[in-house]
Amino acid sequence: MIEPPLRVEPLGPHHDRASFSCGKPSLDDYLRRFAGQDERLDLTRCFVLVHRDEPARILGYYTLSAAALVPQKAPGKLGKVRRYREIGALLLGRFAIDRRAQGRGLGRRLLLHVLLHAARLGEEAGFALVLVDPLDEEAAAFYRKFGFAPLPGERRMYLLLKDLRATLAALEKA
Amino acid sequence: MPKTARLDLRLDPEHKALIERAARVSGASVSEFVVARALEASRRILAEHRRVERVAVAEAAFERLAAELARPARPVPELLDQLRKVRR
Repeated sequence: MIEPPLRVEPLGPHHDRASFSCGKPSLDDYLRRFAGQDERLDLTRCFVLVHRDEPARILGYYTLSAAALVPQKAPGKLGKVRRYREIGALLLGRFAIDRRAQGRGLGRRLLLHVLLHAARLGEEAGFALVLVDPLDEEAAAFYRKFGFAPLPGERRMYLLLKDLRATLAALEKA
Repeated sequence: MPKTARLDLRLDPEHKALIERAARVSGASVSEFVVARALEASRRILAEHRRVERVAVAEAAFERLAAELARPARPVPELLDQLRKVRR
C-alpha cells in the first residue's frame, strides 16, 4: 500500500509537527500538542507517513488505540442477559493527510495500510472490529467508500475484522 | 505517609514460605516486599485497564454488532474495489 520512497513509521521527536496542516484545526492541533503526550502515557500509538527525501515532514498521520464497546444502559430497564458484555475494538481515533499532499490518492493508500496493520494486529490482540469516529460528512463519505458502516443511531462507523480478513483472502484468490 | 492501615490475609503456608524466601533474597522485610510487589502489580493493572477506552453505544447498535459477530465472514465489495485500485 505504502511503498518506497514513502514509508510509515511511529511518530518521533524528529518529525516536524508544527508545519502539519490538513485543513481540520482539531486534527492539526492534536498532532502538535497531544500526540506525544498520549504516546508517552501509552494511551494511543501515533504513526506518520513520510517521504524518504524529506523524512521530517509529516505527509499524514493516524492514531490507534484499544477500545471496548459497551451498551448504554436504558434507564429503568433491567440488565439483559447478553452474549457479550463488551466488544473489543481497535479505534482509529485520528486520520489526516497534509493539505499539500492531498489529491494524490495518499488517503486511500494510508487507510488501506491502516487496515492491513489492523488485520496483523488482530492476530495477536482481541478485537472484533475497527472503529472510526468521522468528524464530518466528508470524512464519513470517505470511510463509506471502504465499506465502513455506521453504527445505528451513531456517528461512529465500523468494519468487522473478520470481513476485513475475508476481503484480503478474496483479493489473494483473484 | 503514616503507615496506619493494615492488611490481614490468610494464605497457604507453602506460599508464605516462598514469599519469605524471596523477600530475604531481595534484602527486604516480608511486609516491605509484599507491599512493594502488590503496588507494582496494582499500578500496572490499573494502567492497562485505563488504556482501553470504553465507548458506550446505543443498545440497538450493540445488539446489531453482537448479531453481526455471529454471522459468517464475508468480503466487503467496497474494500475489495479500493484494494484493487492500488494493486493496478
